[in-house]
Amino acid sequence: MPAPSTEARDHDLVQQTLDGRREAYGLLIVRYSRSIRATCMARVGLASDLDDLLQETFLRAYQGLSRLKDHDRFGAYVHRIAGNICVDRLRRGRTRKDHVPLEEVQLEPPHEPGLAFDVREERLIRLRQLVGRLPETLREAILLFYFEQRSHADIAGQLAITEAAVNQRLHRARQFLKQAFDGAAEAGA
Amino acid sequence: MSFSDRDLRDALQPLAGDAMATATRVLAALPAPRPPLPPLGWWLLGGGLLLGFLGGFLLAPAGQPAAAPTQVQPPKSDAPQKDQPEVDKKPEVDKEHKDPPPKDPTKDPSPSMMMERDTLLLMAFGSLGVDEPGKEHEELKPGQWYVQAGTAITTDQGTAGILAPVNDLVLRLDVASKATVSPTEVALEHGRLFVNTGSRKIAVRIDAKVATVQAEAGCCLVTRQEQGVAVLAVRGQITVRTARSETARLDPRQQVWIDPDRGMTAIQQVPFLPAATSWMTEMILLQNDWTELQERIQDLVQAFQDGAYREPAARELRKLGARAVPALVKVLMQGGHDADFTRATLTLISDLADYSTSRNLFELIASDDAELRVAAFHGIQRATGSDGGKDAAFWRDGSFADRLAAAKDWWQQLYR
Repeated sequence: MPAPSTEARDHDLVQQTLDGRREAYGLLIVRYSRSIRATCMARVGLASDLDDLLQETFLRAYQGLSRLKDHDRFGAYVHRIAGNICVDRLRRGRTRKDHVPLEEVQLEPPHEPGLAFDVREERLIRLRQLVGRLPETLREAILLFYFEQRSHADIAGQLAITEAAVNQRLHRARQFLKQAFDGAAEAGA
Repeated sequence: MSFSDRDLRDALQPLAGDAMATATRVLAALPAPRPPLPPLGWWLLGGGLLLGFLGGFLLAPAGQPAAAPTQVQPPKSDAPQKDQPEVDKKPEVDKEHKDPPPKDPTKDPSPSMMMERDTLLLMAFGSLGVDEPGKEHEELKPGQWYVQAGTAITTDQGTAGILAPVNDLVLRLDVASKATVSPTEVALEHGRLFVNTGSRKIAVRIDAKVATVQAEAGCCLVTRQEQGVAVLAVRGQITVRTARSETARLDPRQQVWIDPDRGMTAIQQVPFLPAATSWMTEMILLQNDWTELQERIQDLVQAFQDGAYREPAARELRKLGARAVPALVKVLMQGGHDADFTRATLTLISDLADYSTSRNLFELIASDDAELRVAAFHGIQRATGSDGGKDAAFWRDGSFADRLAAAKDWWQQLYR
């Protein structure tokens, strides 16, 4: 039997996984890791347990794989699981007394302000933190466009909204980021 | 000064993670398949049964069945229907009967249904025994296994973690314990059991003979010994009912003891919960449940800070290792602590920090407090094997500008 190919269709990789070939599932994970990460970041923010959410998603997807009827729909299937896990994660977070709001989640290794890093790197870190504070719908649009580098049409299809709405969300997100970014720069000056 | 589209793309790139690392982690965590019986044995067994059945049928006197065949009934699942409260679907358990009655093999659901409803993921942290319904006793080695719902699990020197995928029920069985486990019902025969129903509104019933415990969206510990049963609520509300029809509702950190002869004691408050859950630390770490881990760290740091249980809290924090460092640093950075607490916390941080968590100590090295700076220096040095070209005297007495520049260089050297 040939080794699973990175070019193989989802359908074939799912079938090979069900036949007991774990390396085929590894290829599916590599294929969807980035977009699942984007989904999780959109839902729960840039939390520090993203890797755990990813792992849980792919483990749960594996456990239920035999129930997936249309093997070509693996992408939609694993995204749906990721969404559910993120909802669970947020719900659990809300029940904790000491829950840290998303905007306070440590996004970067702690450091003394002004310490280390060149100027651009500091700007990028600040920008990344601000993306984490965007409302979910805007964060989702920004991540799909700038992180996954998907087209407006793709994003519209995934979110079930019009391309105009995608444009609007991206515009609002950029405005939010610009205001926050410039505000922070002035405050720091 | 604003940002460009390229800035945004570049800013988000570091979030991509490592897909290969994710794949490796997931594949490593996939449960091992149950070792199959030797194919020859299966064929001999199946062939023997078939020959026996055919032979008996052919040799039987006319008009009589060769052997009374088991009445074939439509497959039924013991698992409750999803659209009804699961606990209501369960039949009454005979409290005098420790083990569940043997399951009629004809009632076994199909393999696909078993995967959906009747499969448990078992993590053995030592050798343990399993008695699956309708199967021979098996000894399992440490590792991950699938077992059927209704399996009796017996631990000896090692502990066991059990997950029911159908409702995300998590159970942990201490050493020298035995329990028969289904997704909504557990019969604890002896030993200690931790039950976590997660945040879902699933109800789980724990039968410990002299008492039954109902956990819904909560966690509890149930210990069954010859002398009686102890129930401790960890989270959520836990209901305890005794064979004498006494009932208690426990809030977190409350416990009761049920004596077979004298009934239930008054509810008692447990001042330091982590001591009762200490035995699960290894499983908490291996299970890698971020929320549970953080909750435990927060509880322990709180206890450490409060002082009454500083030593046991420190011991438990040490078990968690470097993961506890960020929370401890955060406490120190809040300031206003007495010298004893500061010193004890610094010792702990310095002992626990590893290369990765040593980053957190850079918050302390920027402190106005010279003692904190020196302790942070020693902690980073110990964790990374690097002193950044400076000594303790520099971090105690150096000027702010010099220290800032040195910290910047050191950070770059260590983490870039």
